[in-house]
Formats: sequence, C-alpha cells, structure tokens
Amino acid sequence: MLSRFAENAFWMGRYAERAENLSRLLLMTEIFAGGEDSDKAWRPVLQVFFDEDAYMQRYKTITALNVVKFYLCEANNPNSVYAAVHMLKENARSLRHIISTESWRQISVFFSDVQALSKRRLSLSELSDICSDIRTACFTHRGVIEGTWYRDEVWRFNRLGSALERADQMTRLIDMKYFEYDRDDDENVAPPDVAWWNTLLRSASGFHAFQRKHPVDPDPADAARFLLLDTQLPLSVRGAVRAVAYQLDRLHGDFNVEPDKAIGEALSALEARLETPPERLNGRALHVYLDHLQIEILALANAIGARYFSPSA
Amino acid sequence: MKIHDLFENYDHKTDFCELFGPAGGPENESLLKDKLSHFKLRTLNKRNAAAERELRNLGITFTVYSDAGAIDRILPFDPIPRPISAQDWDSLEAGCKQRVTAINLFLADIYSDQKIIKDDIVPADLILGNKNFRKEMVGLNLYANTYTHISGVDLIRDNNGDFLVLEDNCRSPSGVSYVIENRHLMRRSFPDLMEREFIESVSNYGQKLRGKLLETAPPVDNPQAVLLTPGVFNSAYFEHVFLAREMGVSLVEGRDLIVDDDNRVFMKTITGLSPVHVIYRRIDDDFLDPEVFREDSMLGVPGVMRALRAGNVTIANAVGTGVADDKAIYAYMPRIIEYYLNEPAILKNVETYICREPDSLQYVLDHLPELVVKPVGESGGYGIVIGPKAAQSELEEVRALLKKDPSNYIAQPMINLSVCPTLTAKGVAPRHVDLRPFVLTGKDCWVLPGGLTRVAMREGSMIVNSSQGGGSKDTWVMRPEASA
Repeated sequence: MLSRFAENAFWMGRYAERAENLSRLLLMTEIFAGGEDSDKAWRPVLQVFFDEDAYMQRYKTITALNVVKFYLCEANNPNSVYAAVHMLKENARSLRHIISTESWRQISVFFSDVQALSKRRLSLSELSDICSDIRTACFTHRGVIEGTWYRDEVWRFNRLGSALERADQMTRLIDMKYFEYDRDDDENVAPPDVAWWNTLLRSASGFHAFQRKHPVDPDPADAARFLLLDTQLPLSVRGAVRAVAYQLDRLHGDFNVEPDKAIGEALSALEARLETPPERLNGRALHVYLDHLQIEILALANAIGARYFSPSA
Repeated sequence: MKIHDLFENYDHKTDFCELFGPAGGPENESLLKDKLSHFKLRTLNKRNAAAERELRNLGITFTVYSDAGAIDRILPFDPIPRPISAQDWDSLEAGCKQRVTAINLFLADIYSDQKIIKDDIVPADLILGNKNFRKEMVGLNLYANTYTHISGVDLIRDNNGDFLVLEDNCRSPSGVSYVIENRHLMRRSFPDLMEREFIESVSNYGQKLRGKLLETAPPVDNPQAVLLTPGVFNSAYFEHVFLAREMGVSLVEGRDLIVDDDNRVFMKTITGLSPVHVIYRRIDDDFLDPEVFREDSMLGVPGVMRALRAGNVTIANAVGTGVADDKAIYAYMPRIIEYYLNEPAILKNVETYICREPDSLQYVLDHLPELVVKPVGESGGYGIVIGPKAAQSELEEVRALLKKDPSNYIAQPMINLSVCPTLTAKGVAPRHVDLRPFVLTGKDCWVLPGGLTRVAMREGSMIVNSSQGGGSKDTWVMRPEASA
C-alpha cells in the first residue's frame, strides 16, 4: 500500500467527521441563539476555531446568517463544511481506483449538493434542514464505506482518521462553552446550564442513553463525563481513542504494519489522560482537561503522519 | 400502420450512414433500427438526460482546471449506438493487428539496425531528424520486442463505406475508458434497446491490458505493474483511475517511485519499498526522467531510464514511439507494412501524396485547388492549407513553398466522414463520426471489439475532438451468437 494512499484515506476519514461535527455545532448554536443575531451567541463559534480575524475580514459584523454562511459554504474558509467536503472529495480523487465506485458517487453527489448551497440565498429558517441533510450525507458516507470498501489497509487508515478526528471534534464541541476560561477570570464566566448539556447530548445522539444511566438529577459534570469517557457512546472521546488503538493494532496484526515507538508513546499518554480525569469535570478544570486532550490528540496525529505518510526511503 | 417514426425526417444526403448504409443504396435493415424507430423523441431525451446526470454523479469526466478550481466536465454521450457488422469488424480487426505489428517491427528496426533506411524505403531524415526520435533508445533490446503496447488507430469511413486510416496513435492514446463506461451506461439506461442484440463484450479490457503488459515484463517471479499518472490535475485523470482499477494495479505518481543505485524501481509503501517491474505511463517522454530528458520535470521518475537500460523495468509505451505516429511517416505506412510483412496493407490510408517524390509533387501542383496540403513537422493543424476553401493568393503562396521545400509537405484529397443518427436539440439528425479501435500488444496483438466512436455534435462539423465539443457513442460489434 502506497504511503500516499494511506494518507489520503486517513484524511478522507478526518474530513468526513469534520463536516458532520460542523453541522452539529452550527445547529446547536442556532438552537441556543433562538433566532437571535446576538454577538454573544455566535462569537464562541468563531473563537473555538480561532477564526475571528478571518471572519471580520470578510464580514463586518457578527450576525447569525453570516456566521452560518461562513461555516457552511465559504470556499475560502478552511474550517467550513464546503472546505471539508471539498477536501474529502480531493482526497478520495487520489484513491478512486481503490475505493468503491458507490463511494465515489456518494462523495460526488454530496459535494455538488454543498456547492449548490453556496450558489443560492440561504435563510436561517432552513438551517435545521440543511444541517440535517449534511449529517445524513455523512451517515450515508460512513455506511457506503462500511458496506462496500474492501477491508485492506486503506480501509483501516480511513477508520483510523475518522476515529482520531471524532475524538478531537468532541473536545471542541464541549469546549465551545468553556473556552471563555481562557480569556477571563473564573467568576466572570458562566458555565453552561443543564439545558445546554441536554442539547449537546441530543446532538451527539447520546441523550436517551444518558437518561438511562443517570435517571436522577444529572448535573453538567455527569454529562461531560458521559460525552468524554463513556466507552459505549459512539461519539465519546474515550470510545474514539479506543477505536484508534484498535485500528493501529489491526494494521499491525493483519498487515504487518507496525506502529513505531512515537505512536505508542503518544497513544499511551492519551489513554492515561482518559483514565485520570480531574475530580470535577466542570468549570476551569474541564477547560484545562480538554486543552490537554487536544494537545495529545494532535501529538498522536503527528506521530502517525511521521511514521506512515512520509517514510524515509 | 405506423403511428410514428423517430427517423421520419432523417436525411443523410450524400453521406454514408452507419445505420442506414450508403446514400442512394438500399437501406440496411436491422433490429436496432426497428427498435429505435419506435422510440418517442421525448423518451429518448428524458433517458439521455438521466444518463448524463449519472455520468456526472459517477464522475466519468475529463477535468478542466482553472483559476476557479476543478471543473469536472462530462464527455457528451449520445444514446444512439453506432453498429458495426461482424463482417466489417473482422476485416478491421485484421487490419489493425497488421498495422500495429508492422509499427512495432518498424520501431524495433529504427532503434537497432535501421534496415528500412539502408534499403531506401523511408528517407533517413524523416526518422533520424524527427523530434520524437530518441537516441537514448538506440541499441536497447526491449522485452518481446514490443514498443507500442497500447495503440489507437483513428479510422474514418468514406462515402463508399470503406474504412480508411486517418492517423496512428502510438504514444498515449486515450478514450478507452469511455468505450467501457458508455456500454455500462447503455445497459443501465437503454436495456430495451439492447434486448435480443448480440453485441461483443468490452468488459475484459482491464484484464487483457494487464496480461499484455505482463507478457513484456522483465523475467522475474510475480512481476508488478503500476500505472504512472501526472496526477489529479491531468485532464485524463478519470481514465487513469479507471484503468488502474480495471487492471487492479496501483495508480502512482512520480513522487511515489524511486530508482536505487542498482537501477531497480520501487514504490514507497507503508511497509517500506516494494519492487516495480512494468510501468504503464501516461506521461510524455519529455517529462519521464529528469536525469535524461527535461531536468525541470516534477512529474517523472529520476533514474527510470537507467533501470530500463539495465533491463529491470518495462516502460509502456516505450520511449520514442512518437516517430511512428508522425504525419510524415504515416504517408509511408503502406510501404512499411509491405516491407516488414510482405503483404499489402489491409487498411488503406487516406490517399496521400508525398511531395518530395517528383511525380507526386507534379500531381499536387496540378491539383492544388482540390487538395489539402499539410506541413509534416507541425502538429495541431498549424500551416494546413485547404485547397477548396483557400483564396487564390493562398494557393500561390503554398505553390511557392512546395517548389522551394517539397520535402516538408504531404497532400491529401478532401476527406468526408460518415454519419450516424444522433440525438440533437432538433431531434434525430445525421452527425459525422470517426472510430478509434484500441490495439494491445504483448507477445502478439489483441483488439478491443469496437472502439471509441467520437461524434461531432455540431451540424456539418467534422471535428470530433472532445476539446472541440465532440461527444461519444457506444460502439456495437454485432455478432450473432456472441454473448454481449
């Protein structure tokens, strides 16, 4: 398997997860903004992606519709759904002779649908439908891969990229409301309430499972623990990191592709972090914890890239 | 009583029609024609639109890159197939095999003993002075003596229905992916049109290609083939994808390959370096190896010519095959076939006058207003003078040029292309078509049944190139009892 193919497959996985999570994040923000154009509701989205400057160059003021456009269909914004699906397609293009035609077809149609969005007027009232369509396309994408791809190294690397991105995106989704600890003193930050967490749980398809596990009086720390550490929730960070470990293990076992020492160390560090969360998963402690997780996920991604994608021949 | 007929207003005038037959002659009868005549135009249009949508969804495209990003364009597909009778095909197939066999013998000769020059069949300057002649190839022995593994023979059909060769393609002929995808599309969109027809299958092209390439591999156990593409920015990238997939080989770029100090070729994989023995390259000679050809090439593989000389790799098509598909050599092709095979050419050339020969020159000078005069060194239509359309002053100009430097020119009569019923905005109408069969050579030749039928979508136009708005048709070799 060419190193380049492994890299393309890995990034296909990452970009598909990214598109899915963006649609989740936009929809959640809109639900909480309740149709309001407030700076307060929409600025955190720009902050969590470090996009305030880029956005301000393009639009003068923060309005719901402009932020939504910026993240849905702005081709020049590398953090947009448009960019994610475009990069998904370009990575798939390099793999077209390996991946199933069904899969390429789905990606082509997905991208042309997203392109169509960028060519027409949008209104906020459609956001829910649009985000739901994007998520459905992402689910279909995953399903077509599951149903049609040959189970070779390319498939493993795709699943690996997808799992890694999923871990990363969940930390960002939660951090959206905890990010303010970076900019302000504890007493000035109002951590999100139960309603916000419930919406997040619903958007991560975890609300009902969470209710079953915590039938009485759950608090935000329970929700955070569930979304980060529950091993049975598909979108949880720990679940995703376990999937990463599994894929690396299979690459070794089935294809004789050994991870190197750097990957092993980065993975162990991340796993250790997930085994030892702070006592109270709330407030500043949660933000700091998310920060550490993000740094360790990035370190693992870098180790994977160095080992597999740029081999020194 | 006939309620309606799709061909009610169809008139192919003096042109030979692929479905109806010669002008003025008795109409060909066929099941296909009967079935088509009962189609409603609306149905045809609707299904055609669905078929083109599917082409787009499947990404069966040639890619045009511009400042605005990637634009995936489909090759317009025409739903009315072009039939070829088994009898016509048998003779075309034999003719294509003969021609490509002779071309391979010619290439092997000019890069070794050059007997054809010594025997005065083809003038030395046309070969040795040709810009596609690669001195780096002289004296090399290629496996199976094969130079052009993949060839395309461009054919037209005149008003009598005779097939004539217009051009040979011995470098990187493209278009075969459309032949196979068009067939898939016909099956999906027009199953009723294919009912009860016996059409020769085209679906094993990838396996045949891989097999023929491996017949010419260096003698190692389990030789590995790859397809070398310039990358996703190349306009024919879809075809590279298609062929790699159909063959089951890796689609690599130059940066994925390296040649070591022992002149062996490897690809870079996640488990280390893996050996490569056959490279089907879709990169021009100039860009193939920066150690030997253009130093600034970022697309090629440094050292691959060293590996070739060491006998460690087969490059398909070989470097330097462009001499054989040159316009000047084309004129000599009937003599080249006779010279190497001792038999007359089965497929005729368009009649061609070689102006360096005094008799031909005299004829050309006497008939200038009827002829098309072409300079031999140029490509892309540059410097061509079309007699019947030229002003008197232009004719005088070319007359002077011919007298001054006759060796630089050939001349041909005006050619006409046959037509085939084609779906247009104004209903079904005749449009000009050509045909490109694909010939594979390993130890011997194999021809894909049919080939690419290109169609000029504009009324009266004879320019079938995709870059000029040409489209394509499914091509049916109709052989009773064959399984489609």
